[in-house]
Amino acid sequence: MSGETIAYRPIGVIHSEHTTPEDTPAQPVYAQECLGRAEIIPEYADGLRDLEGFSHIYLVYHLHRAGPAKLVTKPFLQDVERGVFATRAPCRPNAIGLSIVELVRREGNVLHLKGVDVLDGTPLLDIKPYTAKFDRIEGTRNGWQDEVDDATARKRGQRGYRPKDAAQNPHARTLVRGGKEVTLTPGMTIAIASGKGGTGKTTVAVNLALTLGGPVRLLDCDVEEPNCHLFLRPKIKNLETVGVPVPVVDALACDACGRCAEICQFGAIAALKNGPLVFAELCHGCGGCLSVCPRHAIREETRPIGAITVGQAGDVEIVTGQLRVGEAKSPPLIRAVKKYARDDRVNIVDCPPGTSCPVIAALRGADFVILVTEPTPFGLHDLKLAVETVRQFGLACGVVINRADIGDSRVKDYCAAESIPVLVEIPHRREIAETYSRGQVLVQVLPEMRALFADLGARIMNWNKSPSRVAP
Amino acid sequence: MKIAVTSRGRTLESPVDPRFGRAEFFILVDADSGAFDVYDNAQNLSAAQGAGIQAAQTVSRLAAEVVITGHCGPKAFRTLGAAGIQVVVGASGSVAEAVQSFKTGKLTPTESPDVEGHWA
Repeated sequence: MSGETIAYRPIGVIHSEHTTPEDTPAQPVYAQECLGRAEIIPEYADGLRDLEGFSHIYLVYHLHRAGPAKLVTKPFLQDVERGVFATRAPCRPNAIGLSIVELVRREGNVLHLKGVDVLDGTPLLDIKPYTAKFDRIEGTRNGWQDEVDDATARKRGQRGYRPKDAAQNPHARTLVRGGKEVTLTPGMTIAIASGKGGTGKTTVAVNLALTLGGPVRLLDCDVEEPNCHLFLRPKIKNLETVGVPVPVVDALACDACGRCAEICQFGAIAALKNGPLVFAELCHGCGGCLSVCPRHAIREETRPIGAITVGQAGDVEIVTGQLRVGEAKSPPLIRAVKKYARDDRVNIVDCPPGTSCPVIAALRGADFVILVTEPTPFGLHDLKLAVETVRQFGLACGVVINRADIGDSRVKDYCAAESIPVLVEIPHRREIAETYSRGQVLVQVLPEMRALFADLGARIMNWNKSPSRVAP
Repeated sequence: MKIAVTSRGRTLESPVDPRFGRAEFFILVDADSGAFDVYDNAQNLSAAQGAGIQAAQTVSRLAAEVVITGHCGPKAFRTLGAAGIQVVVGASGSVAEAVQSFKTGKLTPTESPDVEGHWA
């Protein structure tokens, strides 16, 4: 027996969202929201018959990226060395992995799985059904694991895994996690963005909002210069002031230890010998100074940074963020505007231009991003930046080319090369510019624009059916 | 009395650095004995924001009573004021000349910042 080599051939491969070992949860229980699939080599497909009758299955697989075997190792959950066979660490003499995962459904030789704690590309060796009759054991002894409390176990068990941003939006779930059946449903969020300013984001946002039909919520997150309301002329229903917390020091309680200034990474607190000096305009409101003050001499007060109005214009409910003039940081206000997104209707977010923090704040949680550009070298340059930003989030996107008959074909060439769908092209026409400059809405004045935006709406609803989408 | 002078170099003959927050060096001069120490401000040169505030804390820690520099913005001025440090702006020439101008009354402390903040 000893020294005999046993060779197995994989029966398939496991696909998941996990691409780095350090960011892969340690166990299915810490990967409950993680979707994945097992693709079985067709010659074994007959062996999957009747498997769908089981809610959970065992995956037996080869830990293809495990390090060298160690007989004593620290498990993920604890910084104490244990015998490797008393752990589930991957560094085993035979690098065999075992997970019990949920079988969501079977499509031919593809198994759609949930609770996947397995690296993408892992070779699959075997599948067995999990069954309560055989496998559920009550009253177990749990060895060293009883020394680890649940919260610690959860934290350490998740390892570096963090759900992707868009994935935190329950409505985006299937979209981000490899599913394909996304349609434009209530609660979905469409973000209109562009690298370059002045490309027509607001035009697209307003006209799309009026074209989709039915109640729509338009969130104007371009808070430094919101202007959707100029076209929609809403009746204002509600006004909210938005502030950020800033520290206020009680000079009597403070002993000038300087720890608040030390922890502040934004230089918003100066430590002087007679006590700290706060520069509210530099403060990011993290609360670090409060937590380190040994004398509890710091409390938070709210400093107003802007306002939000909610108005109604026909079926479109418009939420407008307006940053206070001179304010340097808009993301807290943008986040506050986005809290007005509703689950019972389509939300359209008009983003600020560029690719920095305000845009990130506006894009977060979107289900689909429309990137508006123009066919010029500037348009192309900034579109590339915008695409990179959107890809960081793993969001699906399509391009609207505005003033489509100026410039050259490089934007289209780029989109084709990058497999980004060009959704519609808005022509460069005098009456469009005139309509805009009078503060009128294109779809209400120009019939051909009504048709164009209806087409845009339809294409977004069907984006998933197009073969081209932006890969995360 | 200790005077902090913003400097482009490490000696009394170095030119005064017109910037306060992003000065290359602070030269701390003892006005009575003429002795001096040099403090490198390199970490502030690349600060994204708040360089003036940080520099003001530095000179406060050095127990300077007067700062002599070219220009001083509002946040640095406020911080220096809170620390009880007098601010002299408009200095030029060498560090030694600036100290001399202050001692002879040619340069006097300012009541307000003389430039806008570079940030916000």
